[in-house]
Amino acid sequence: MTVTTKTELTDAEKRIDAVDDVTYGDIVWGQFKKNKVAYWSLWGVGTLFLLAIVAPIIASARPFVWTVESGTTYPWFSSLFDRNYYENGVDIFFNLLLVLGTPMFIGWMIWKKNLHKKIEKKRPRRRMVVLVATSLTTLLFGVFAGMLFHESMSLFPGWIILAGCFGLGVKVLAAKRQVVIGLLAGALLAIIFSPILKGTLFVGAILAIIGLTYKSRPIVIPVVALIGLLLGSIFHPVSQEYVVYSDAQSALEEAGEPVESIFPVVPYSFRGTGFNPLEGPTPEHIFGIDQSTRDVGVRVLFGTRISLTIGFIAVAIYVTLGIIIGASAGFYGGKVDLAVQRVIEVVMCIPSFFLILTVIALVGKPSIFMIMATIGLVRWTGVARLVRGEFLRLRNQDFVTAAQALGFPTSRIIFQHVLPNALGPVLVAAAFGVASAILLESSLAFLGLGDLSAPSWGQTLQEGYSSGAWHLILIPGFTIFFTVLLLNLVGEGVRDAMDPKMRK
Amino acid sequence: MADTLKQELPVLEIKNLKTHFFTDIGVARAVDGISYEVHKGKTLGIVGESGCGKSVTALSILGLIPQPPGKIVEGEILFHGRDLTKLSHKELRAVRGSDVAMIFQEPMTSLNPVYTVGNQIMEVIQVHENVGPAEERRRAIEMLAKVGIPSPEQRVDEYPHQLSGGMRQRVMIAIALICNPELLVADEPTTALDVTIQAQILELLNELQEDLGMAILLITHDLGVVAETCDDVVVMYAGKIAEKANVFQIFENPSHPYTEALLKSLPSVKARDSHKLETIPGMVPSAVDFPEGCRFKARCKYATDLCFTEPPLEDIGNAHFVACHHKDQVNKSGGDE
Amino acid sequence: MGKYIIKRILLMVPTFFAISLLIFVVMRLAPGKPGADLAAGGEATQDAQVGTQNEAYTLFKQQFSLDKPVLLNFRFLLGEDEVQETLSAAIDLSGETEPGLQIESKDILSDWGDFAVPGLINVLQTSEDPTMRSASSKWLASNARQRLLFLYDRDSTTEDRTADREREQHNQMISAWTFEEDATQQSVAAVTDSWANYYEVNQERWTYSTIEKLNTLFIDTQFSKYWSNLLRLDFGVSHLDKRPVLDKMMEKLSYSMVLSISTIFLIYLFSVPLGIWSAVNHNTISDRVMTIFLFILYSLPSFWVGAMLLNFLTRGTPFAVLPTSGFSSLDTSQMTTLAYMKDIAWHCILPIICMTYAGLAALSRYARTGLLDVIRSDYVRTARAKGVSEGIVIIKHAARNGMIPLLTLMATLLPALIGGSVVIEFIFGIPGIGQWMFQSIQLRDYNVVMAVLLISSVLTLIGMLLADLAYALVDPRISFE
Repeated sequence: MTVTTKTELTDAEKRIDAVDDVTYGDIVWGQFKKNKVAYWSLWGVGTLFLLAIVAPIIASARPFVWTVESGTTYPWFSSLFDRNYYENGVDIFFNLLLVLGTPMFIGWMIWKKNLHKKIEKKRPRRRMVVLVATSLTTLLFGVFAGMLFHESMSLFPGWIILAGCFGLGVKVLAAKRQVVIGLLAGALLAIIFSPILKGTLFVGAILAIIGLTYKSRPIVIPVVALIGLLLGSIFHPVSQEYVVYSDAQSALEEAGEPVESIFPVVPYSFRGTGFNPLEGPTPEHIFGIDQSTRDVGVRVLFGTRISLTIGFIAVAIYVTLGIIIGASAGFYGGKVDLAVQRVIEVVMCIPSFFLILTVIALVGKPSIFMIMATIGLVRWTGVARLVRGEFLRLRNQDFVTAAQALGFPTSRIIFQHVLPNALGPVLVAAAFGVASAILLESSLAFLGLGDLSAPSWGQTLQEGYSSGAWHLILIPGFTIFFTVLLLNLVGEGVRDAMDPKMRK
Repeated sequence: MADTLKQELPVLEIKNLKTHFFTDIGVARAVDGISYEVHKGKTLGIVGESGCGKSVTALSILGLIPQPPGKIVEGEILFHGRDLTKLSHKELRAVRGSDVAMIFQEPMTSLNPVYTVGNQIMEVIQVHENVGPAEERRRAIEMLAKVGIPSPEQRVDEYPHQLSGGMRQRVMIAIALICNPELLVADEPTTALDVTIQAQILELLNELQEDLGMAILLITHDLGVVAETCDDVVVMYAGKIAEKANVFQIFENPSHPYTEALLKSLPSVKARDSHKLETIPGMVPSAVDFPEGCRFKARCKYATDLCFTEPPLEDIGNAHFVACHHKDQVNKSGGDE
Repeated sequence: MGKYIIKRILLMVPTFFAISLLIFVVMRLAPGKPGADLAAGGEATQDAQVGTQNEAYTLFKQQFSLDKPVLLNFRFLLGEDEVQETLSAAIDLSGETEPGLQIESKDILSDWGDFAVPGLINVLQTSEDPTMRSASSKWLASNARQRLLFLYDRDSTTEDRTADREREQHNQMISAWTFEEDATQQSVAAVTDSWANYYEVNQERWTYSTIEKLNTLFIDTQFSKYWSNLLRLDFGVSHLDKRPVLDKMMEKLSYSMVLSISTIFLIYLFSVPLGIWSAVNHNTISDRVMTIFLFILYSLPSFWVGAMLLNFLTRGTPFAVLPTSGFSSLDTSQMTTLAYMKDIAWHCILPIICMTYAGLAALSRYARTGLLDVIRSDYVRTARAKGVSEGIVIIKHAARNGMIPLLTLMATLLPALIGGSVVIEFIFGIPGIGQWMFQSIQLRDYNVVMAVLLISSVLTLIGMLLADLAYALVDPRISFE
């Protein structure tokens, strides 16, 4: 009998171990992956993001390389953070992601290949490889970053050296886990070199410190160094003369001067005008031309950036608001709860589209950020109600009572035990919310209330509606539909994955 | 002579029934070739751990297996010699509720919350007989009184949520017995109830059985209930019959290691000082991959290599059937204790 | 039940009050002012230096109470220094005031109205600067005016008219008491004297008791004026054509209601059977196809579908079978009732399709999941065990329980439809509430926007109540005791 008792115990232990290894997130993710449609839709959304990020590589009026008699310049690179070329903050943000994403991806690959196996401690040679590789990538970023700010390739040697030193020094110190010394060294380096860099790297140093205290992974170093450089570039925005390079090229060629240029595949910007208005698809402009003589394809491509930003940021705003408000109502209960409930009731009674429309229209010329903020401030009630409900439900559950019986303080129970459990339904609501925010922005733009400086899909659709040009209705409309469909499918997948009834 | 022969014919006879569920992860052989009979006026108990297939057996009789995944793949369910598995939907519906009735484990959820008690009882009469609303109502009230519900004239118009658990189970019994069925299938009718109410419900079933002369197929995991109410017992394990005998044989002379272990796991005051309460190690194997040979061998203390071949269900006298290669040993050790 | 309904309706009152407060604040916080065209039109004809506000604009603001503070009126605390500062900014005394600030100061001064009189008298009597004194005399002449009782759209009584005549005379009198900067000593002294005299005589107009102060604080505001009108079910008049908002609202609502109610009807008519059909055929190929189809339908943006239908079915390519826009044909006077109905139906097909399909898709999915939830429940199994036929099991036992969630959706469906109608009515040119709302917001017709927001909120509140009542009707477990 004793033997069996023992085996039983080990069985139980095994089960507990297994449970420890598999988190709730893993279960949901595994379940989600089983749903093929939702899984591929997630990839689809990822691809949309990728398209939004690499949009300038596909379409830009600035050539990568521009060689005339006076010398060679690289207008494409300098255009990325040029507020004269990209007027909208959203574009600058995505260009930042483009510039950052590439090294991040490389860094991640290196890290994944070498570090996650935890062999570095046993094999110093491997560790050296990692170190060298990290430093090399850091150097590469320096070169890359240098190209950004200078039209000619004349690099700013200080930056490269600095980025390299910085990366190396911090890496070595961090590897020994002497974070404090690392911080000091980083700060010192930044202070020494900051006059040369007009303070740009200083920001980087601060971010490096934050990154290091968070987790000492080598990926952090190049990334934060770059964030610093790029943030610096935003604080010192490069503004260049607005040259229409394609016109310049034809003018120079007519004058008989030699010009060599490499343009992106689609050599138009989303603001570039001058084509035949309302022209249907042609080989040159495969998606046709809009009423304001701009290329529809490029506008739709760059519209991805607008829509995705609106969708995700607006939802992020209202989810945050909703969680804070709902959690405090559910946590404090009593009068706070009553007040919050009344406020929710009041806001919910007003048709949200009317309210958003009113605010946006009264503002007059809303920016994208205004639209996001408005959606965020009006739509938080659903999430707040969800979180509140989950809190009230979970508060009476056994595991909370058990935690109380163990003597944990209430706040700890709420934030470590209740909140994570309450986030499931919020995630589902957020997934569907992104789609609905995108729809909302499109319909506002369709009504002529969008941000006019942004190439919103709804705006193109509106031109199609008023002019009756079929390609202006079909192309942006289908894009909206497709994006919304993908996001809804993902939302559906998340919901099913979280539903314990679907699990077997 | 002919009359007595007919009397001897069982109300329900199940022959080699196999009900399987076809799921994504494989075929679950929930019921895998079982046979038994239920006689008029008698109670047959089916005992086993949860997941052994006893509820599926019961649902198979009335064709209530959820049908995309589940299917009766083999065997016969003979009700007065008529094979229920071969009936059309319409013919089967005529049997349900009038000839064979069923009560379920959860009185809380087995009644439709949006209709009155009376409405739900009268529905059975509406389906099977054509007597008119006034007569329906009269019979419903009469039946409610019969199952021991106080002031049935009022209760008949109440909704299920206004009744207690025990009351609801009485209503379930009323629904089942309103058309005088010859067989009542009771699937763990007392599991969800308090102990005192359990006793009342069992008492009620016994009384009604004497009254109406129906046969009862009682499914339970509680050996105490079996001892109190059953005439014959079928012990099921992993979709198969382990042992089949009358109730005295089972309790006095358990011949299958599983039955023996079940009996030993019963708490008793007598045994308190001398024995630790025995548990059966391990769990019921998953219905998707039952082991070869004897399905109990992994948990059996008598298991030998012999057990890798499937033991046949053999009569050891007194209509006592056992499916075990080591039944003699079990008998012996059982006798020792 | 009746008690419960009364309780709920009484509870609606504070909610409605809070809603109106919220809407009021949101609208007044937004930049842009109504009647801005009037203000701009007046600017050119106005004396750039010392001229008071453009009269038409001032009158306009008074008419709609726009000169009052939004929520709380503290103007009885108005100090003399504050008046002096604002006045000097308004006439650009230093010569360095920004144009924006100057216009704003003028606005503020004219909004202060009566409350600025003591301050202005003080400037008139004590200021050294002739420009200031002259300006203060002119502002006095405008700010001390008494308001006429006559308002748009109200029937005036004889007493009102006599009172108005007296006020007119008073206003006439004080409008003469002004002087230019270069006026002679005597005329200045005369005007100053008459103002001092006037102030002396009418002293009690500017001394406020506590009750008057409280009265001013809470009552003499835009919000309370609006509410006091609301209590009389008066939503004010449209700034644009001076017609009562409520009249126009009823007219517009009739168009929108035809659309929304037929939409709701169609949604429920199709979605419940569709959902039941899908649930009964759960996991078969036809169910999967239907689910995918409904999902695609659900994700289709209605403005795209609207624009497509409009472009391809009404504008000539490839088929022009349906009318392009409007609720009915332009000339309906020759039509019989039947022909008129047909005409309306013909015009409404496309808008109703656009409003229906998304809701239909969403609700069918709800119906399907609702039914799937109950179809495996114990009581459905009980019903089967009774020998009840499958059709009756589904309809009587499963559907009634499974469709309960759909009832709650009814409460959210109506406001969603009204909100969504903006785009549809915009596309198809239907003169309903959505289009009216959209136009009014753009023209800053506050009374209309307020009214539409309030009415749609009330409709939502009523919808919620009805949904709760319907809930209680179908589910006996819910009681109001």
